[in-house]
Amino acid sequence: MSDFIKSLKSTNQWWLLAWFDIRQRYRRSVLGPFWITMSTAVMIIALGFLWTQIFHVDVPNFLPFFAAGTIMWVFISTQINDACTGFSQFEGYIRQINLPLPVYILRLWARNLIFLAHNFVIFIGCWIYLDFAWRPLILQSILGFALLSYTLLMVSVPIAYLCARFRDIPPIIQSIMQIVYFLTPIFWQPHLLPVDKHYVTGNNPFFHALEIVRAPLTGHAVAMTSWVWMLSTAVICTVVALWAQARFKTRVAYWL
Amino acid sequence: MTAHIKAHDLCVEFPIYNTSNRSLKKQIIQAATGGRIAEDAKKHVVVRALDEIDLDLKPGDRLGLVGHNGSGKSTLLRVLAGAYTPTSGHLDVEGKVASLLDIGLGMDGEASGYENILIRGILMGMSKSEVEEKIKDIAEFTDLGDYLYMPMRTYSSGMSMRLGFAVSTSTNADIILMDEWLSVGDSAFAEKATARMNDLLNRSSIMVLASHDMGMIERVCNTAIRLEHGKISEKLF
Repeated sequence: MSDFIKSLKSTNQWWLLAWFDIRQRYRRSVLGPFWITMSTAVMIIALGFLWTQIFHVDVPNFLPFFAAGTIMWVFISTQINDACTGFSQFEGYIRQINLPLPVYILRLWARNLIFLAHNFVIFIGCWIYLDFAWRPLILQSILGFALLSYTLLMVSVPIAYLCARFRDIPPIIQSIMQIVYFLTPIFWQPHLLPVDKHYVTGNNPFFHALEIVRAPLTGHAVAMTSWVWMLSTAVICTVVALWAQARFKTRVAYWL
Repeated sequence: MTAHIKAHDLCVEFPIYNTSNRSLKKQIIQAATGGRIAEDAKKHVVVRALDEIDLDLKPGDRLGLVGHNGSGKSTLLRVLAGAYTPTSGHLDVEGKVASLLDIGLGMDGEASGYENILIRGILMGMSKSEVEEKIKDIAEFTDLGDYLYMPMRTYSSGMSMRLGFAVSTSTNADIILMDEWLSVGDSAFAEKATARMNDLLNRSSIMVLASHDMGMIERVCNTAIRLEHGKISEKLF
C-alpha cells in the first residue's frame, strides 16, 4: 500500500517522464503526438463508413457510438498490452535504482492518458459534425472514466508482475485482446445480438468498461449492472494488485 | 539520524530461468504430471552472487571493494542501492543513497542537453525545482555552452559523459555508491572533475567504491575488502 502512495506522490517520476517519452517518440515530426489523432481518425472515418453500409445503420446513430467505443478501446487495449512489458522495458532502471515499482506502471498509464486526450479530439469533431447538444447525462461519463482508468491502472500491476516472471504471457494477452475486440460491441451495436446470446455482452467486463463511459456520451444512461460490474472489477483488481505488490516486489529485479 | 550501512549474513542468489522453466507450459505440465519432470523443473539453477556478507559502515567510512570480474562487487553495490533485495540475511541502510553506478541511465539521445539534465536529475531523486535551482551550475560545469540546446545524439561520447557526470555529482546524499572512480574528459576537465568528486565526497558521509585500481582504492578509501566468489575473502586495510 505504502508503495502505491509513495509512487503516486512522486509525480515527477511518472507524469513528467511520461511527457518526455511522448515527446521523444514524436520528435522531429511535424504533427507530433497528433499523429495518433490522425491515424485513429482515419480508422474511425474509414471503418465508420464501411460499417454503416454493412449494418445499414444511419450515421448520426452509429458514428458517436463507434467513435467513442474505438477511442476508449484503443486506450484500454494499449494500456493492457503495455503492461505486459511494464517492468521489462524499464529493466535498466529497476536493476540500478530503488524506485517503488508502481512508478513504472503509472508512467505507462500517464502515457496512455496523454494519448487518449489526443484521440478525444476526434470525438469532439464527431459531435460538432453532428450538432452536439449538451445533456447533464454526460457528467456520468466523467465518473465512468475515472472508474475505468483507475481499474485499468490496477489491473496493469498484476499483469506486469506475471509477464515479468513468465515470458509466454505477453503473446497470450495480445491474442486475447484481439479476440475481445471482436466480441465486444465496438463496431457492432449490442441490440443486434439475438436475445439468447446476450450473455456475450452481459458477462464481458470490457463491455461494461466501455458502457460506463460510452453510454452517457451517446445519450443513454448507464445501466446499473454496468456500474456494479465495474465497481466489483475495480475492487478485485485493487486487491490483486496490492497482493502482487506485497508478495513479489522484491523478486522483480531477479526476474528481469 | 546518522547514516549507516549494516549487513549481516547477506546473501544474494540469482535464479537462472532458462527457456524451459521460465515458460508457463512447464509449470502446467509440472502440475499435471508430477514425478520426475516436476523434480527437474523444480531444481532451479541458482547462482550465489553474494555469500554471507557482513558489513558495518559508519559516517566517515570510505570502503573500497576489490576483486576479480564476477566476484560480486557490482552486485553488492546494487544491493546497497536497494535495487536488489537480499535473498537472505539482514541489510539496514540508513541515509539518502546516490547511486553513481551508471551515470547515463535514463538519458535520451533525442532530447537536448538541458532536458537531459532534468531527466537525469529527477532519476537521481531530485525534485523539478531542485534541478532548476542547480541547472545553471551544472550547465556551467559541463563547459558545453550552446551544445546544451542541441540533441544529445550530436555529442561525442566524452561530452555525454561530462553531462551525466555533472548532473549525477550535483546531488546531495549521505551514501555514495560508485562502480569504478568516475573520471571523465580530457586532462583539463579531469582535474575539474576530480575536484567536484572530492567536493561530493566531503558532503557525504559514507562512500563505497568498487575498483580494479588498487592505487585509487588506497588514495580515496580508508578501509577495503576483497571479494572472491561473493565472499569477503580478506580485509585489506
